[in-house]
Amino acid sequence: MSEYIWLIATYASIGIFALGMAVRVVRIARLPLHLRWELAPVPHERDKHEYGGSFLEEPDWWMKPRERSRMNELLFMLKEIFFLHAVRKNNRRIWPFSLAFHTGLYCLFFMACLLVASAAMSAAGYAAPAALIETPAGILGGAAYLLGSMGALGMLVLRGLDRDLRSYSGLPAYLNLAVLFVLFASGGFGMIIEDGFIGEMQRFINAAMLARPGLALYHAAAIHLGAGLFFLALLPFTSMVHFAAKFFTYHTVLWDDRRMDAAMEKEVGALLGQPVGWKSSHLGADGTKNWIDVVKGE
Amino acid sequence: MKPTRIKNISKITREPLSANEIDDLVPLPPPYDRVEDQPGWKQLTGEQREAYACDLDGVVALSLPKPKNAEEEKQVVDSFVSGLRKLLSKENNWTFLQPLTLTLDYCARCQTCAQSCPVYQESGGNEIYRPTYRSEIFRRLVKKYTKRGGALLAKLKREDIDLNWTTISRLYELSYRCTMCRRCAQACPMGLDNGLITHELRKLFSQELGWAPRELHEKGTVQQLTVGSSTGMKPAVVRDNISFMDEDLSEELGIKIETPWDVEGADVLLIHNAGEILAWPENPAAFAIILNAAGVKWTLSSEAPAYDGVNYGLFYDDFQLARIVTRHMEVAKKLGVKKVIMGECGHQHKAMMTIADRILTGNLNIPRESSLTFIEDIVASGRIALDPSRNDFPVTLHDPCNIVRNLGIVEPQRRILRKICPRFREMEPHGVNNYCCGGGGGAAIMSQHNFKDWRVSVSGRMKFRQILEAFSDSPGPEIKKYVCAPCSNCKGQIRDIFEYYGAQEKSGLTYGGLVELIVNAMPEIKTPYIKWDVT
Ligand code: SF4
Ligand code: SF4
Repeated sequence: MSEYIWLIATYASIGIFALGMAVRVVRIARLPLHLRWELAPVPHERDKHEYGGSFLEEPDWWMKPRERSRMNELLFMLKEIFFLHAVRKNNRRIWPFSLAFHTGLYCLFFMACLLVASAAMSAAGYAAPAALIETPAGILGGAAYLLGSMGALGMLVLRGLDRDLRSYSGLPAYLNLAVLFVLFASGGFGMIIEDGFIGEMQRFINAAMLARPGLALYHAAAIHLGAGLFFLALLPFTSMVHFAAKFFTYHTVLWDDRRMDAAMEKEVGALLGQPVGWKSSHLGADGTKNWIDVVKGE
Repeated sequence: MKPTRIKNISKITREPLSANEIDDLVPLPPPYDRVEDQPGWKQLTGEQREAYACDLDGVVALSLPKPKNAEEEKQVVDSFVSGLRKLLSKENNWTFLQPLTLTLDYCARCQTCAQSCPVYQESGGNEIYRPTYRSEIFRRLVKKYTKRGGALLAKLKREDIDLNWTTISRLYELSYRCTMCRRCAQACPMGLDNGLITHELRKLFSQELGWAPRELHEKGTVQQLTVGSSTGMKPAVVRDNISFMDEDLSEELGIKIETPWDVEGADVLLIHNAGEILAWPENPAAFAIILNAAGVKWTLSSEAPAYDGVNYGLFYDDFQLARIVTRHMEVAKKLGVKKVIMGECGHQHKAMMTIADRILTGNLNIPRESSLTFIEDIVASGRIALDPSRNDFPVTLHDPCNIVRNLGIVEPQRRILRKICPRFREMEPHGVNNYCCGGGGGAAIMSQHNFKDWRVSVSGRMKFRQILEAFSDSPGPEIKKYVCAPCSNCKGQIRDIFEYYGAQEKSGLTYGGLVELIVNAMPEIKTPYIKWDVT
């Protein structure tokens, strides 16, 4: 029976995660075009990004081609994702813990990818060599559990002890970190006390992929998977989804320096046609006048 | 200084939530390090305390009258809640809804932003000035009052904040303790923007409750839209002032200075911050000298409001912003100019060059360029003769946030200074990492009650420290030193800082724009153009 419960829990948390994330992302993406609010440095400036310059430094800039570099954006993002560059530069106190914790998550993610890939191969009838799956998965798992539990614990303690962090941390912040600590620590514990812990994870993923129950989980593995599934389902409802939001804050706000073009003008026209509900008398809005009328003062 | 808890914002107290004491502030270097030598702050009178909300930090920037009765209080609370809802609606706030939603929903409460905020840092870590203090209160109120089940969730998460008149009036004052410099946004690992939260809060107050600082609203945007300029100058007065300035300086400098007006089909419409014409006429005059010497076909406009590039709507009200910028461009269209050049005014740059880009449609979207790039092009082309030895004094550069951090115009002004000022040195940090002058977001023109004391000694403290450090090789008054600040509002704030501390007498400091230095380097100008006693 419990094997079925594991399967159902797995599908449910993947489903909740996927749906929750999709709703989040679609909601942000569907928000209307906003006024320009870019902030230097904008990394896609090809030659000027190093000192934060922009195309607006050019005389008659509207007559010149924009010199953009997607590569610079990519490098910026990689530095941000893997080294937490902004935290390193501006908040050295939390950086080591945050870095350990994020690296732990990445390792866990890559380990899960490997195990899923291997499960997919074996479902298709190919057996992947151990050197390609088990060994790297073991290394990634070890790194994930060690760094992740150190980082999550460090962040948890820091949040509790540091007055600045404590006064701004609500219960959810501690809960999220606690779940992550359990996830990493149980994985680490499992690896220490159980031979073939990663193999067990692999078997679970295989079974889940083929919707085949019949797998008994030991204590550490059960806690680890339970915490993992809970974390997955919880993620879209917490501020930890900032990894998705960050894409928008950079690409659609801080780096969005697109000029008005015909398509945008149409969009802006529609937005300006909306009724204004603000009440202050200097606006002279009555709930039916649109933005254009209010701006014209009619 | 007592630490303040977030929830205390709504506690009704006789004393301010967190009062400012000069000795809590980060000490300045000598000779400004002795607290007892500092001028101290204007004390509020008993009458002022009775009349106005002053229980945030003991500073009054806004003169908000206290409500007369419970009914009035309730109206304020209801309007605030309806304003919160409008800020989150697509119809009423399409202009900033996406950036606002992101900042509200994804803060990791890591406090990285606090390390970058000059106001918070220089106040000695006064909790109410922490970038996230304001944002967190706002965020909790948004969740509680605009989301389904928000009130219950707030209780469960222990994030409940009472919304009463005290909360709202304190938030109102608090929204004017941030200069919207966006240094915090640059540091935030999530790319979130506490400066934008300030902006949106101010908008709510203005657009829903009709609350805005007198200097920005009645005397600012309203006056500009009705009279033509936030200075109160009507078209005829502007023309008179400029022609008086032309005559006066022509005589003094021994060259003919002539300002062209309303030239149809000119290549360039130059728009100054009209404050320059009254407070620092040598700046518009320097523009006239340079443009005429370079043979540019340019013009000023005498049609309201296009002789004043100011647009305080940027700081507090989207509609006032749009009204002003639209009128600016209607005049440019009528004149048929090829492009509009921003004078040395930071917020004018931002309002007209980027923000307005998605407001101006059709043929109102006339190309707009910074005077910094335009003038650099002239300097680099060799069209005017320049002798750097005439600028042989220490010069440092202040980076106006609205031009540098917000627009990415960093190098043109530096290339000019490297060429014409042999003793140019940078402040640290500089460029896009600069610190605000402390007068951003409209603060520089706000001086009610004791607010000027606050902006000079708290929000402007970091800038003063940077200036002193930039000239640490020659700290005494015997060597005259120039702070180049190519922005009218920054100049106003730097003037006030220098006056407050007596920095001209004690340290030989003066300030001015960029074009003045260029004219000072022109050999054809016989008398020195830089005056060392401008404060
Ligand atoms: S740095 Fe960004 S994420 Fe961290 S507390 Fe400040 S606004 Fe929030
Ligand atoms: S915008 Fe500037 S003044 Fe305001 S909170 Fe951010 S860093 Fe501080």
